[in-house]
Amino acid sequence: MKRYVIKRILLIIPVVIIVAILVFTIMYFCPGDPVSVILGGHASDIEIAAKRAEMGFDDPYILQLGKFLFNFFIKGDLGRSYITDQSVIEVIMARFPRTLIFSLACIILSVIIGIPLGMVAAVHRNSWGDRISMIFALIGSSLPNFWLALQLVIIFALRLGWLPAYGIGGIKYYILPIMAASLDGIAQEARQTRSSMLEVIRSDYVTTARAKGIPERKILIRHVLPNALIPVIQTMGNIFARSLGGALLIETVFSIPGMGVYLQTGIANRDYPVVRGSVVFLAVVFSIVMLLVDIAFAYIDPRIKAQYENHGKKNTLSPGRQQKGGA
Amino acid sequence: MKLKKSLALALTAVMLAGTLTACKSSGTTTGNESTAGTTAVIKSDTGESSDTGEKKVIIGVSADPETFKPYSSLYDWRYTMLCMVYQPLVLVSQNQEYKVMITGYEKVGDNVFEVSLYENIYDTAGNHFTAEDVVFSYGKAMESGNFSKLNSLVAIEALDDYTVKFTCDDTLVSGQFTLILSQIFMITQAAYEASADEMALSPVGTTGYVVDRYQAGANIIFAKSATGYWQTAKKGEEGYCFMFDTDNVDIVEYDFITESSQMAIALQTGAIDVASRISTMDLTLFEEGGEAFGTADTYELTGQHYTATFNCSEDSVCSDLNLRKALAYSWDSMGIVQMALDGMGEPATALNHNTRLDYDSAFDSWDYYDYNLETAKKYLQTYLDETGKAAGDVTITILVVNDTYLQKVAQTMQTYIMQLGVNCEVAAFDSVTRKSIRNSTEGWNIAVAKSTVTDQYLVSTMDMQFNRDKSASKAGGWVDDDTLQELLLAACKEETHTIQTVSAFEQYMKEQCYALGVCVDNVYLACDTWITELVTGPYDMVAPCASTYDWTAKK
Repeated sequence: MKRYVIKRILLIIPVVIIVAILVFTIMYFCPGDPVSVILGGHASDIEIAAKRAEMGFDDPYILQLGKFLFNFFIKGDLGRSYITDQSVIEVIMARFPRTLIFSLACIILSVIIGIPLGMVAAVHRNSWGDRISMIFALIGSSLPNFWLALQLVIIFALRLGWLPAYGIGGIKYYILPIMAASLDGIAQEARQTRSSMLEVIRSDYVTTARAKGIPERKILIRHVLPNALIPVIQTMGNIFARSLGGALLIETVFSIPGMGVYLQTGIANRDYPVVRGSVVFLAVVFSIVMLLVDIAFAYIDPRIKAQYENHGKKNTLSPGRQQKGGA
Repeated sequence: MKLKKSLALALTAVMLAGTLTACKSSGTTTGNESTAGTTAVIKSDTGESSDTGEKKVIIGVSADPETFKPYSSLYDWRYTMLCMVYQPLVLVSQNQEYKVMITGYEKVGDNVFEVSLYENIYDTAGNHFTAEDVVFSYGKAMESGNFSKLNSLVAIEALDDYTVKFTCDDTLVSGQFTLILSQIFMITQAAYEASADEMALSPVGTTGYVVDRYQAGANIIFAKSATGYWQTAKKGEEGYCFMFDTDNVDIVEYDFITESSQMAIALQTGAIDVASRISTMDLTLFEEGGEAFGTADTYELTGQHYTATFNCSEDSVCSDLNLRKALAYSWDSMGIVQMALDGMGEPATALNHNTRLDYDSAFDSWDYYDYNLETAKKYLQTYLDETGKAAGDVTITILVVNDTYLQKVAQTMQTYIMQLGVNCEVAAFDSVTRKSIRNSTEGWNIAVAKSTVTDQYLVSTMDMQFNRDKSASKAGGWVDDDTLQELLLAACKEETHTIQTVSAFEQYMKEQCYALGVCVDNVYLACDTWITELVTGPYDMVAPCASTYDWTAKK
């Protein structure tokens, strides 16, 4: 297991390098450049051309890529914003915690609410419980989160005056954004849990457990749920990844200075260090999250753990069985 | 299954009803009733409170300056916000030039000026500001490469402690020296060198305010400096400038609100006192019949001037004068104002707005291709006869930035143009992509852009857009016209800059139909009723130090 984890950690390195090359290449081929933003709308084309040359944008692709990769991976320098001249890594470290709070809150809510909802739906299949849960899940998946965000602001901030409409500060500033951002995740978890549990509930060993007289609650918690959790945990990973990169709409509506807005502004301004630094940073975070998801799989399902531990070994049979010719 | 369908329909209806109820913007309530039960006040958690008796105003703005470096890229709204800590030598606002840090300036030679400073200028760190600091400030600005207006400045020299000599070259156009004096913030060399981050987060300027707290992406709080403000002149006295008055407010907080509809909500809930911009849709909330009528005052300002420039390169069909005229006659500026701007604006015809200092009012009576479909069709037919094309063979591409109102204007123009029987499409891109397409000869035929109505000279904009020696894309829309260049230079040069030369250029542009105005929109501000007079400064941004407040009425 340790070897597997170390191997996965080492695999993050080529993933990050490939992501860095990809984002560099995409931004390279995007029309426009940041010089027109730096110099402002009143700069002439001749001034823009001179600034481009000064900033190295006229260098060949390979040369620019080489400089970027060297600075990035050897010097560890994510660069400075072309527009504000602020260190990209410092700004990311200031903004990322806010985005992380949303993502973690989405995960927690999706687990606390989504999984029980899915369980209720699965256990009471085709009854009222199932229908209400799935209608809720359908609404949650269908509602655009920016629309929901504005409705929550109008109801709770404007009409009732219970919560602030925008900004950052104490816990109360996060309530509405988290509500708006997590509904989709809750819906997804509920549907995935229901689907996975239905698959497992029909298994022979569950029927056997019932036949042996084990209480239904115990069957659900100890036999059904652990076996149904693999796809559910996978969904959690996806929700987390989406909420990391997709927090832009929520951050915009609630004026929260997070990663989404930072990245979007960087893209609009062709602020290459901001875009590259943010994307690679998010790629690293996502890779770590996926690793944690895979580790969680191993702890939940011993078969997967065995797979990890035996991965790479050519002959998994015991010596005794080998001698008998595998009989 | 039937039950599921009924439930789904019922829930959809509830959702729709909820949306319509929540989005209702007019009703039968009067102003008094609407404030009584429908809104509540939430004070933003800024850590500062006006309960201490300090005079504090909170302004909602749409973006964060992100840095206080005086020589970073300056957007319009950043300029006004940074004026809370920094000062330029001269301020231009509302057709008036304010000598902020100077007693005067005079032209002493060909494009050579001498500027005299006040002798008692100190920054908020207590450093004395002298002519050497002016030289230092301009040196830093030129080093940054972010100020194309300084390209005409050849040399700057301190003649003594309070006199500075500016030497410019022949490319200096009329009115540009005022821009040179007004666009660069002054700092002391001592304060700059003492700063660990080039004043990125710890600016030291010469106003009476300092940055008290800055939460990146959230808000900035400016508070009065302990050292006070060096300028003691009061209103009406020589040396007074409304932008830097320290008597009206003690604390100014700017909250960054990125979503436009949230600006109106923030004003309604009392989280902000001033909304620096509200949309025309949200404006109706505060007007008679609106649900928040009586809770805020609204201000209408002339906004941005929309100009249509034709691509006159060989790759574009608009290189033909007859076609350009046909298109110019085909759209109705008043109709565009009604349809695209909801009537909140006015038609435009001249190249730029009449607030420009050298605008000739005679332009208003000129015939600038007033909407006439028959005339448009005649010119189009002439073009088609000469080229042997059919109307359906012609496709016009209108290039715009993907801004809501620009797109609406372009789509309305598209509707008008298609009446001629030609094809027309709208190409909307982000600003950077749009600029790169605009600078090429292909991919567009008409570029519609908007510019802030400032108090600059008309010639400085003309020079920037149409001087083929300064633009890789020739003059604006790839125009290579010797007569145009000659008229432009005559209008721009200080010695020959007169109403007649400006008028001659405008006349020629009109005859050749290289570019023309489309419309001007209005921008709206709103503020709480306890603010008795809201004053705006450069770029129509709120000037909190100049506004007047009834602090006893503040909630």
